[in-house]
Amino acid sequence: MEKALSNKKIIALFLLPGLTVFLIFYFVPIVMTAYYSLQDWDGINPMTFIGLDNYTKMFTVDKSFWQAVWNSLAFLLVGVFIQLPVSFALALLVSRKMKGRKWFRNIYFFPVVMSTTMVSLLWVKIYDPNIGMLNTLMDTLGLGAWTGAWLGDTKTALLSVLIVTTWHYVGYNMLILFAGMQGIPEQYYEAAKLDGATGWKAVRHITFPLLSDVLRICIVLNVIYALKTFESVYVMTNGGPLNSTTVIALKMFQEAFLKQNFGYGSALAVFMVLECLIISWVLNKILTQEKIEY
Amino acid sequence: MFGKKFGVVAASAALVSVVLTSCGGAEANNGGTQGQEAAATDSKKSVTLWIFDADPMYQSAAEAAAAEIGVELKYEYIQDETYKTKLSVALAANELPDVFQQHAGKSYRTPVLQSKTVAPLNDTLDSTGLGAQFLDNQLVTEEDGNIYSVPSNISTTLVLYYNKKLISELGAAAPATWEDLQALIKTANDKGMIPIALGGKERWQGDLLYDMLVAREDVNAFDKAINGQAKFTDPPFVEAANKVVTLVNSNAFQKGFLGSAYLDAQELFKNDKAVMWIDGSFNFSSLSTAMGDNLGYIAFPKTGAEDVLSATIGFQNAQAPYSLFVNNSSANLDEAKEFAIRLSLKLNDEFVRKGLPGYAKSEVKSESQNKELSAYAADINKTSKTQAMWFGLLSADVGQEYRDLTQALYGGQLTADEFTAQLETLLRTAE
Repeated sequence: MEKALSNKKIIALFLLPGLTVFLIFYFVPIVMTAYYSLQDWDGINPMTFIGLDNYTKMFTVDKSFWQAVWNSLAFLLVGVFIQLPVSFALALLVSRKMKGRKWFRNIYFFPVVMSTTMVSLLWVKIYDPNIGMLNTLMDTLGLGAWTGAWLGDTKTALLSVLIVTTWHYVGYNMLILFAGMQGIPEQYYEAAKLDGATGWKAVRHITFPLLSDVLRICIVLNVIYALKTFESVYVMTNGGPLNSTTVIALKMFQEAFLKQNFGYGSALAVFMVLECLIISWVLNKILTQEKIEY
Repeated sequence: MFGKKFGVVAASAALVSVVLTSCGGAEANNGGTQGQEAAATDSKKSVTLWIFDADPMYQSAAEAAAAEIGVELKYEYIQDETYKTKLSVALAANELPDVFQQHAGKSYRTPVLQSKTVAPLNDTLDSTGLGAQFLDNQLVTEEDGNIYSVPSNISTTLVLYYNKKLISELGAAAPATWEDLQALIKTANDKGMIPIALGGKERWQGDLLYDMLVAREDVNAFDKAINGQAKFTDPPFVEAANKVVTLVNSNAFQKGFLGSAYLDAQELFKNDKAVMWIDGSFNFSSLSTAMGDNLGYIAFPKTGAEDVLSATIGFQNAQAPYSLFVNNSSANLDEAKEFAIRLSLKLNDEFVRKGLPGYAKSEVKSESQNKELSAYAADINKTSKTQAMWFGLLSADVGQEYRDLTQALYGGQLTADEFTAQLETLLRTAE
């Protein structure tokens, strides 16, 4: 058996079924989608080759495309610069030796196990300006002047959705970071303590550097998730009002399945794949550094 | 052939895998597969049916039709908005059930016919003799001479429902004119009630209201404009757009209505939070069940030059009615065809029983109905012109753009003049 497994040809043979499945179900559809993005096609009738016209339309004619790009970037920025720091702070808190830390950890992680659709529907009810809990609560607290239409107002809709996605996934990053923190040997902190590095200094000089690999993974995952956001927006606002919350994935769905512009929808899909790949690659390049050892 | 089919499935898979992994995946079973599995394990043939209409009469009629021809029925009700998405995906991937309902309108009907996935019903209509029961012009003959569908609903129209209890509390009456409507909106707002509940998220309720306001200015305005005899910037369109702006500015709709889903807005009306609700007559049954005698109905107030019974907005036209189609890849094609035809006729009996004008001959007698439904039945028989909803006359992409445009009007992004100018540009392409 060992001899067989040291034979590269046999290893390749074992890998072949998995590779075949991957090629058929992942790679081929991506290539086909790229091909369809060059066609004028409604998904039913014969397609017409139009070269890069769909891309030209995307970048120069379709105004809501740039709105969708900006909104996707808003998800990215909030994911990296708000959600991740909050997750880091929560991970620090729940990693402290205090009473009930497991309980807190579970509470913060609980939203992650709920389906996005369920969470989104729940928040639609909370945000409802007429019968929702949020406005009622604000009225009760004497903050009636601050109540709003939340998801029904172009000024607040995107922010309202961003708050929900942050709330939903903050526990996910927290758990990854918490696991990383558990892997940092306690003696580093004890040695630092002797040198007078406690509190924020210990976090800055020990936790941060030793957690850099985990942080990088969290950033890349957050970026990919942000750029692929669909479900929460679809359920909560359907991209509205007036395209104020539309994102690339939702726009792709609307073009392909509602407007029956399969060609243009495919072009948007290709843009999304390339956008994810390029940003993830750049981030990996920027964030990769020499491994620190103490 | 293989290349195209594989292409459709591959493209759908690539697109859907990104966006629909948790929205519809659990419901991705298709009727054809279910039908084949059932056939393999059970000698009794089965027919899978997809329906979007919530009225329970659809299920009872389907069960009766299945029993008549001795097939097992796999009935699947799918909520309306979900249905539209699910069916378009199933259509693109050729994963349809044996029999399915489709919405009225060109934008929904054309893709089904173009997909070449539905079976002609002529042979079964002739061989069973059931075709003779349909009234003249109620079966749509397509350009190739075939009949691909049978009706699944009568021509429903846009009406205004009101909450009798709330109207009474306001000391008002159902609005008969534009001035009445404005006065009622002001009174309701003064008393802290929502005047009109509107689901702006899906956009269609708003665009139908605009269609109605145009029809009430001039019932032939749309036909003339779309045929190039007039413009969409003409007075009826501008006046109707101004009325929409007036309604929005007078807080006629609930707070945040642009973000309200249709069903959430409907709940406001059903639960005594909103005084009025603008919707299709197809919802009489479900609203009556929920509200009982509290449900009031009027055709729609007189808001322009046209009389209330001279013009209304209908949800279908003669060329694109609500329909039942049969999947031509069905494992039990003959049974599926006969089932669809019998179901259509049984549904017709139910409409006739309610006192509504059917689309086929029926021996059923009209039964005593809810007073409001009787009033509607009387009104619809007197209505001289039904303008099909515009969305149903447009291609899918233009129709969606039209809905985006009306939402911009309701959202205050466009003035009436700007709106109609853009309407002219958009709909001229659909001419």
